[in-house]
Amino acid sequence: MIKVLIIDDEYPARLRMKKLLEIHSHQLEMVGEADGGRQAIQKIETLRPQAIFLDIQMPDMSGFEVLEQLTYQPMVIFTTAYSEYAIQAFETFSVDYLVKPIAVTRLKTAIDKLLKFSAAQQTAPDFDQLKTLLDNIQQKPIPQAFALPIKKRDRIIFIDFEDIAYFKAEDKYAVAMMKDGKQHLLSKSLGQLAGELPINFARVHRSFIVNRTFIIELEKYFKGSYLLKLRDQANTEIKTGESYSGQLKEWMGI
Amino acid sequence: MNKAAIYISLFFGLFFLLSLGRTYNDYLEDSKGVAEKRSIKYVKLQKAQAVAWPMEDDVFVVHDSTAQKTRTYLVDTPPSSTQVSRICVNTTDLGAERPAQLMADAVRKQLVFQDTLYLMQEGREALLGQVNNFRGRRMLITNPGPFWLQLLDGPLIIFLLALLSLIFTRTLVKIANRLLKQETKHLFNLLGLLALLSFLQLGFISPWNIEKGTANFMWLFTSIFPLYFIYHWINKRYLAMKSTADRELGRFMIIFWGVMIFPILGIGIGSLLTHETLREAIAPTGFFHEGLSMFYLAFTLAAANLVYNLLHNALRWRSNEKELQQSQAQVLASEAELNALQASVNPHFLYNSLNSIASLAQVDPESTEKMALALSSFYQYTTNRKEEHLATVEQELEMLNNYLAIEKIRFGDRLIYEVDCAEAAKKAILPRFILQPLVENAIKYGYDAEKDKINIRIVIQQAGLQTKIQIFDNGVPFKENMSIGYGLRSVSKKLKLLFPNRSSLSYYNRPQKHALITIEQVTKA
Repeated sequence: MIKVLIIDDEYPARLRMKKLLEIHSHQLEMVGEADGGRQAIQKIETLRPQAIFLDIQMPDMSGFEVLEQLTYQPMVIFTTAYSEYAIQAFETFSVDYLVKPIAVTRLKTAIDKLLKFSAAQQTAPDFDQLKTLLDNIQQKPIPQAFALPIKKRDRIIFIDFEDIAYFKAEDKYAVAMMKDGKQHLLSKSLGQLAGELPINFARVHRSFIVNRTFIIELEKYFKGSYLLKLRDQANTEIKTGESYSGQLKEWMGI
Repeated sequence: MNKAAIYISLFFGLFFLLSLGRTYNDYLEDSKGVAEKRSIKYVKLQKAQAVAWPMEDDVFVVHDSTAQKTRTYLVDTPPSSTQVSRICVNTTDLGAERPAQLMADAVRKQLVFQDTLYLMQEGREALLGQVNNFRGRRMLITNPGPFWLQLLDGPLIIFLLALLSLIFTRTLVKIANRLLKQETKHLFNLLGLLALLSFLQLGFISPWNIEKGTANFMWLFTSIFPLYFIYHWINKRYLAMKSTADRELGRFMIIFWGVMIFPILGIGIGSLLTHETLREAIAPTGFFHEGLSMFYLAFTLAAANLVYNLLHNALRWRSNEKELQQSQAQVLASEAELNALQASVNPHFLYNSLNSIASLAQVDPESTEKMALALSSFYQYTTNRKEEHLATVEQELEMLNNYLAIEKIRFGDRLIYEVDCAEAAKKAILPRFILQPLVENAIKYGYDAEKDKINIRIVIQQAGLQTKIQIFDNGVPFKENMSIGYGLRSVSKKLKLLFPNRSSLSYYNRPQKHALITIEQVTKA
């Protein structure tokens, strides 16, 4: 009989899990349930279950953080509502993962795996490696940035990139110049900004980063530099820096 | 009949009556018949110089060199080459049966008289007699013309001048503001006022009389400048909130009564400089006449300001209307975009809710039913069959309550929420489905580790035309490099498309962490 602990922050989910496990009551003994990370750690340490059904998204800490903090490593079956965590690597590091809502048959498969694991007495998986891997994956869906957060005196606002004609450097900080003429001072320098902007922004001068969608004309200037005419309200003209001309040509596709 | 119409008719009626009164008054003055009935001012001239400056054939100017005054006198019969021009003069020395006469020729030759007034007859210079008591009747120079011209003449010019100077000053202020990047309104307004009134002073009030004009300059500083600031103060404090009609009436009254009363103070001070008596300074041509002139000036200036403000308002409405049209055009053009933004509910919400329903089905049928129904209502709202992009606050809150009820079943006691909506805000309009993404975000990041709770509060208020929506949570503060997901992005996009330049979305950490949406409602025309 394998002792198991159910960990999930949602009451209906725990309820369902308990009900489903009743079918396997000859193989598994449910010793307790936890409604959050802290409670989970406490109960795992005291009750020492051999296996846990661990939810990943919990308000106080994630399932991984729970594992990190355990001194005792049980066998783990992850439960999650998010299928993006469902990758092959999971299977290497955990016994199984279950996507909520959990189907009866899928649970059976997971429990069979658990019993096999237990019998085989495998060493506890390396959760640190798993954590790093999943951290990287979690970085993945970076939503395409549409807006730039700007900290004002007492609040944060977002300005859409499509409204920014160009950025200019003022002392150590950058200023976002909007198409309607408004200006926003940023707490970053141009250099720091450059790495965070969408591809239609490029640095054309020591003091300027321009939004390509605002360029209406490109005029050849002296010594390899160009004069860019923008379609903002002020009809700004920006002279590019000579040292940037190579990058500029590539960026503009000329 | 609305207020504005009443005010306008009062205004024009008063203006017309005033003009009539003033013109008639001047007309009466001009007509010779009245001369005798009016009080005659007697002047004792010590040294007189007849200046060759006949305005009309029967008017001439006498410069009293002792008193340093120039006066105009009316001759009561028009001269001809042979006839003599007579002044209505009584000279005791010459005898009553031979009234002193002044030939028109003599006047033209600019002869100087000392102690006596040489009177000429029939082209020959001859001393007819000495005049010790010279009596004449003083009058103001007027330009009699057709009645309708007199009606419009002075007032119309002042009105147009004032109007033009207002327009000019406003344009100047706009340019200066842009160049200097500073608010220059008051500076240029005062300069403009100074210029206008100086011009009026010299041109109309004390016509081309530099000395008197300069002395009475005092009234500008002591009266009009304070009046200007009083105008702006009252305007800001009491009139800003009122309807156009009330506001313009208020402004009119301030200028009118201000110009009527304040200059008396100024002129009073000015009289100290010119050593005139107060009475002379304030009403050199008599109280009635002077009073009427001031009345006129006050009215004309107030009227010019009124007309200017109305024009300015009308132009602004025009451009607002254009802006409204443009934004309506944008809405039409962005229909596709808005439609695409419609179903922007996080799909995980559906998974989670259905999972919960499945879990509770056998154990807690009541909660199951509640959840299923709430979910159904919620999705009915989000699918937006009628393709409406706007909703009332009331409708949004209904949807939100469904959403929160569902989340409450899932999170149980861990989730605490409160919705507080002012009665006045319930009918306000906002883009459909902008509250849920923010509340979802608040729940996602609103976990308070200390209390082990997710505490959400939604507060909606209405102040005038502005709807203010705040979504508080007790979670970790917003970070400067916070990223916004698809849901929040759709909120900002919808605000931009449906309420361009009238809405805002910002994130505050102080005094309490909250997201703030403001929407300026559109007034009905």
